[in-house]
Amino acid sequence: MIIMSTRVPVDRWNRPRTDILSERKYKSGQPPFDPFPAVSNVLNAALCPVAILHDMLHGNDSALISREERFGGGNLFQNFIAFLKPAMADGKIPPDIQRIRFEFEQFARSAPDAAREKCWRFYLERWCNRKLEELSRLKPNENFFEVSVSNSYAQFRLRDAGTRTYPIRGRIDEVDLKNHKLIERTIKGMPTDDVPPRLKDYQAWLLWKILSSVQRSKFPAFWRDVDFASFTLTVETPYRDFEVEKENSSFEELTHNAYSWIQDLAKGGRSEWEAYAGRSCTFASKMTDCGLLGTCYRRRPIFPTTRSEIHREFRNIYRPLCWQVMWDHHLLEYQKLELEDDELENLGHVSKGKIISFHGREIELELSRKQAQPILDQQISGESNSYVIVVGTFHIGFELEANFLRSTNDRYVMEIPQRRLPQTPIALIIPSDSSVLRQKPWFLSKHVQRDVFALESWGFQLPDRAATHSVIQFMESLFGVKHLRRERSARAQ
Amino acid sequence: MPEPSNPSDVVSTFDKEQKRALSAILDRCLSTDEFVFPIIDGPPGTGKTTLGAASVRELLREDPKSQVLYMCYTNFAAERARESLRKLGLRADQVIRLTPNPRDRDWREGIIGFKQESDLSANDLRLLKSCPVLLCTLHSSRKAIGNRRPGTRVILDEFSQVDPGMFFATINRVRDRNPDGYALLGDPKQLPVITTQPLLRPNIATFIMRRKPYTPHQLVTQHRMHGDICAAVNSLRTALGTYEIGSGKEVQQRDLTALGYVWDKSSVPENYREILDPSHPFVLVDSDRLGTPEEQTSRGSWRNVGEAQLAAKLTQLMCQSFRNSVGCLDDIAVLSPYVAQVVEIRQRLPPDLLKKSATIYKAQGREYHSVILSFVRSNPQGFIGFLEESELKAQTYVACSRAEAKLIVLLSFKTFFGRSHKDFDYLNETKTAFKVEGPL
Repeated sequence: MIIMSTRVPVDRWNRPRTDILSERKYKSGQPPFDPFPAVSNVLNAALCPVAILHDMLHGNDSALISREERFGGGNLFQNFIAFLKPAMADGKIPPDIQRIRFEFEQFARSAPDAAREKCWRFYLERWCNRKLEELSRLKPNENFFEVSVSNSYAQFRLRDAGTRTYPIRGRIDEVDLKNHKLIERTIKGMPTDDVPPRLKDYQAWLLWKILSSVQRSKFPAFWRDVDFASFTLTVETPYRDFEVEKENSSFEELTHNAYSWIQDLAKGGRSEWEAYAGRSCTFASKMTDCGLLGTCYRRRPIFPTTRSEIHREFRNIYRPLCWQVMWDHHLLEYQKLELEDDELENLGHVSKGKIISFHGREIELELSRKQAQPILDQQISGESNSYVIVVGTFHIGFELEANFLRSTNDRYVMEIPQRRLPQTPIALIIPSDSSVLRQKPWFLSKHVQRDVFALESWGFQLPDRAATHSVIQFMESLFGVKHLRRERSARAQ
Repeated sequence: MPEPSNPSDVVSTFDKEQKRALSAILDRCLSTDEFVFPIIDGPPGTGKTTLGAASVRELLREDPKSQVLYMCYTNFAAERARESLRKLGLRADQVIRLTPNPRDRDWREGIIGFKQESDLSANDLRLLKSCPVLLCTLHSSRKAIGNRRPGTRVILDEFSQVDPGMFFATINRVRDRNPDGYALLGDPKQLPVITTQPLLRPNIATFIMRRKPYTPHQLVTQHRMHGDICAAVNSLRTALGTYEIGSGKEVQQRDLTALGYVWDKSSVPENYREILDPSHPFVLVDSDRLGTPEEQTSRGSWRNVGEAQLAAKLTQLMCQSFRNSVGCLDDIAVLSPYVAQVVEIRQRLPPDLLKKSATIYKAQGREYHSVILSFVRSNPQGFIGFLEESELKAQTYVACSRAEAKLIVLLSFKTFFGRSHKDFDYLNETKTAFKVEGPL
């Protein structure tokens, strides 16, 4: 059931003005633009208004994440397939299930034994058995994984007439150039299911919408001639593949509704209680696969007794942190797509360079002194040494998280941590133009939101446990009537 | 702080207020009708970190099995706390500094970096769990908390940059361990949290004191700045509406000469001599004579080319003309509230001095033998931008209090003085200020 926001569709999506894009305006308070949501935000908003409220204000985006996915099972499944397919296409791994199992054990050796075993038995073995023949026919440079796509003007049709454009970004699990297929992969679902897991078809459709609405001039050189609009959409579970219909008016409506909630919740005002009032399920008929069940239907403990006061104070923290994320992260997403390369360089966000080589986990880039200035500044100031290397364009490309290692003259060596990269895209991009993107650690604000909300919900039922717990007693004394002292009073001594 | 002959005697050098604060930190927090939560208001140079370190050592002396989680807002502050703890005799295996960089791995120095616990071996985890003091930044506190024993102390240093959100997030992280004591150390008048959100700017101590009747422990004697510079800092503290601090005997006459520098007067051009003279620890230089206007950059920051030139020139002259037994004066900073001015100054400095130029925000928590400040703004209207905003005017106070022996302030007298900018007017009225016109 779609819970419609009271303001569907939005009148217009407010994008940052030129002075804000070029950072001539002092960043303070409520951002004068609407968020730049990721596909996961839109999915949460489409699922339930409370899910997007928790996502934006409480840093909890787990509504659509199953228990297995939360503990890394989904990533292991997807990452191994992203490793396996190019390796098989190159002929490095034969299409033999025992050999694939052996490769998986090597690939996932840092994962806990139980998780590794579960991933193989329940998901990968079934997927491999089903796909073995297809895997044996793979050719190099046909399948690409973890493709980042972004568009600040993705177009969606209105029910009656006309269109609305919204900004949106996401990551595609796999692009199959030979079969003209966009694949969204998941470990959700059951062998007996005859429909895709909840909203997975919508997710594939949204990603295709982004990809097919990007102007051809914004395509990376290596995909300049690909017609993404003609691609078919597939949701792949370990047990079967589902084709997704591209012409689907309910997806369009879902999108307008989702963006309306996102805009309302970012602005504040009445929408918070409207969201709670419009939740998609009730205690009597819960959405059992929702990752927020424990948050929505949890009994509030009695202690601390000052919970309403705590809630009143903590509410003043959540939204500013959401706005902080919009300034730090969403604005940069707009800037990446709407500013020219030299403007981005002048602002110190991006250094354009050339990838010289890629060995193991190290990437060597060539950057001029001017291009490297933002990186040098960051090193001098002792800030985080994390960067994102973008290969391709900001609209369609590959984003590799990297850490600065060392530099000599105009060569900068960066490390790609904790990830085995598919070989194919790297073979394609070296040597290639790239952008080194400098990002603020915006996700720390989400961590703070999540922890503050967790503290607000936490407590004890039993008075004796509460009486001996220092955090409960601190909250009672700060927000209640108990005395807060700088030192033990003489009476207490 | 005055150096004790024996590190274990540091407590004996404490004054009454410091001893009282120390005793409060050592108390357990729970009591039937009150909650003990010491907040220590320590202005610059009053020995907050030394007090924090001493309390850690006393806690371990009282109960060798206890564990302390010592948290700071910045990595720099965490490093300083580590130095203080080591100075007080704690060994490397007793103080482990946790960083987010997995490449940091030196058990002998007590530095361990990891992104998640799975990066550590079982032996690493055992060593962490048994370590008496875990030191980290607030953002990386989640890691440390996973390795703590129940019933430990939580000490948070430099709280002026910790907003209520960050603080309560940290409280949530420690909640499962039920700590038996907490303490906040910092200066509530220093720079606020770096954020785009005015609602998040008040620090946690301010938040607590607004909610509850509470007077923090106030440290009143500073051991960093020359008496003349302390007078300037006291003027600014008065403007900020807070108490004045006194100077320890050992620093009252601590100019560059007392720090062991010899000034080669002859190497300094005549018109710069009175500015650099070490017998004038606090100098206000009028930049109006330079005749260069303020300029706004395309990114909204401000610069003043004349002041940048003068600041760079003074930096180079100071470095060349002051020498001690080790070499040239190196402990110097050229600070400005504006990024554009910092860039402008850097462009005029030789490569070996590039790092000396920084924003005031970057200098918070640090101290230098000598500080040169450039305030940039110069306009007939007396408009000084965010320097008159209630929460950001602390930049002036923080910048001035970084200097130990020499403070040179470059600013347009016409713009800053006599324009109802209270803090600058107080600074102008400071009796110890030596005022000069900028050299042409």
